[in-house]
Amino acid sequence: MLGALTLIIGLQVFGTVLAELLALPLPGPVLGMVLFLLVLAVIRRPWAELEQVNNFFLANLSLLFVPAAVGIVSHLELVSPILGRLLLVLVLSLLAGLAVSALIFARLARRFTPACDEEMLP
Amino acid sequence: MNADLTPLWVYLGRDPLAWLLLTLGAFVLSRWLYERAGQSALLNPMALTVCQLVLLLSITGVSYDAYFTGAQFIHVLLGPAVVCLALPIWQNRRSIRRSLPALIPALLAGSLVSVLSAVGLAWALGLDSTILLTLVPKSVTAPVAMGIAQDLGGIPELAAVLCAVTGIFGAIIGVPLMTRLGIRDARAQGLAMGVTSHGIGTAAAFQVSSVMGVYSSIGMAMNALLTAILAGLALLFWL
Repeated sequence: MLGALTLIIGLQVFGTVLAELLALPLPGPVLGMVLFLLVLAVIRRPWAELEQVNNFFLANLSLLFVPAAVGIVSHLELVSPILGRLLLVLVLSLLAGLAVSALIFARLARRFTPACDEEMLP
Repeated sequence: MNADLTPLWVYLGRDPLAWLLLTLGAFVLSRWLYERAGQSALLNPMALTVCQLVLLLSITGVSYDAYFTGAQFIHVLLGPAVVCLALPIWQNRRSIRRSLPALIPALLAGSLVSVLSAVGLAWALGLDSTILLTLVPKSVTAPVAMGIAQDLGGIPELAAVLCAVTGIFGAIIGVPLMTRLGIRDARAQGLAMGVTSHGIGTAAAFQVSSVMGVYSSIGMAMNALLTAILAGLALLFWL
């Protein structure tokens, strides 16, 4: 348990330090993720506990975004005069982005890399 | 509020644990509702939790800073959770390598469409240039988005809010929309979720399937990198 947790937090801290030192435009955790990939490439197979701790984090990922998203509450005044237009822009742009990337992927995948069973949705 | 309860409320409001408990409680309740409603995407647990808490803070007048004294214990786990996205990517490395011919064009197109459609629409609707620049990183994971907005001359705090709103919308409408478009490939849906709706979309993608979550993680990480590079180039040549 603690070994796995120490590795994961250690990689995040190391990633943060590295991003700072190299002046990379990436946050520490994202670089930590890249470093974790390198660690996995070396050890090949994660030990059982590492997998358990990892799964715990991912299973509860959506909870972890809640405190940051509640931050909307302190910017309501800045946003409210242009709220309607902003929401329209965000929703339309989101729909366009979702449709374009999913359709392009699906079209190209059908031709070049057909999905196997476990990659298909029911 | 009932006068007899006020001292208790003031006492509890000062205790960080109360905010931690309320955040966890609201989430457990939201997830229960989500399960009860047959996992309807409209009842996205994260969006539901945020709505409850924003409503509660607005009604009680408690500041976000006060709320965060308790909520920070959850927030601090976000970094390690992002690191954890590496494991499913590693476990699915063969699938990813195989799908690169579809993944790379979809990523580039999705990233460009997200930025250009947002800025173009906002310009057409007459929003001012600070807002246009703040909209550039709206599909990027919040910590990177704030940096990009700052570099471009936008408003970092507003960028974080726009990201959260985009992510929440994406988590709610993403899967139903793409399914309606006839897309059954979990890889395509996942990548689109990550590119447009970053971490919040990725969390929703993992709730559907692990393959979708993996492709969403990749979409999020690559889109953060790509938008940061595009913004850097824009600064160098145009702004």
